[in-house]
Amino acid sequence: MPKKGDFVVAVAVFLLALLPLLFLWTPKGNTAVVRVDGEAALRIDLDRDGLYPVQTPYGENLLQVEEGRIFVSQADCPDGLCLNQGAIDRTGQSLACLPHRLSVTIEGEGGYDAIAK
Amino acid sequence: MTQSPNSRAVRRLCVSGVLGALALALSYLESLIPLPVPLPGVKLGLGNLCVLLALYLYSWRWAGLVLAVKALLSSLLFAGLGALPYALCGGCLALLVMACLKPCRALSPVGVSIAGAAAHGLGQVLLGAWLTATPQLLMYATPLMLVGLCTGGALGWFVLWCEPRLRRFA
Repeated sequence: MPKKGDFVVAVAVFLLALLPLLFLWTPKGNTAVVRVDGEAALRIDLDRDGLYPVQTPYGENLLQVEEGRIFVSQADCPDGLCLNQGAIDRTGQSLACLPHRLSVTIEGEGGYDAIAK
Repeated sequence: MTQSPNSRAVRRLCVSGVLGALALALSYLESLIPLPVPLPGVKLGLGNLCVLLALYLYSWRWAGLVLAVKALLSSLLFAGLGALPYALCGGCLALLVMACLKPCRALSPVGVSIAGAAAHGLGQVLLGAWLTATPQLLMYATPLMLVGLCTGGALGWFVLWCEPRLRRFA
């Protein structure tokens, strides 16, 4: 039978899992920063609709901005998970394509400082 | 059953090999099951069952061997080599946590497995955030750890049930 300690572990993991949610709610951002291999490769203005192809050393992703939100509309990565992550528009939200080492992060006017405050 | 130390060592090697092969088969099986969560790294973690069994039947060394076989071969065969760093980072962190918690007498395999699954998810997220230099990816820790809570608990329960039954074959 499971022991008392198991429930302590379960509750601890549950609370730890919820911890990042405290930081989740943030205002809408207007710039998307695209990083490849951790280096900022492109800044995208979310106020204008458009298509942005991003060529990484590992493959290509097509980013699309529509009504102030950004999402991955095409990608040749093996898992295709980035295509299913939906559109994002709030500061601190991000999209990731791990096979291509690509990430897209929304920033507001103040970038990280604004999030910290 | 009385056994010479030598035959016990052979048996241990054989059972570990079988557990490694089973881990590989289970990783393949779970790659066929689509999960409704479109995030990298969210899986059932069925292969961890064998790592957990090796940990309980033998020691963390043998569990580490099963883990290495599973991570290396399943990324070569199914997931692609790009997945190897994530599998290793998550797997090693999970094994470390499980090996440290196993001697704790207040815990059964259920708690140990939950902690291991959570550590697995956390390890992957940390590596992902580091490789892409995007701390915001730490948000993915929430879904990964919640999934780990469920799958880890279920697998731990299974080990709790079958480990005493397997012990006489070990």
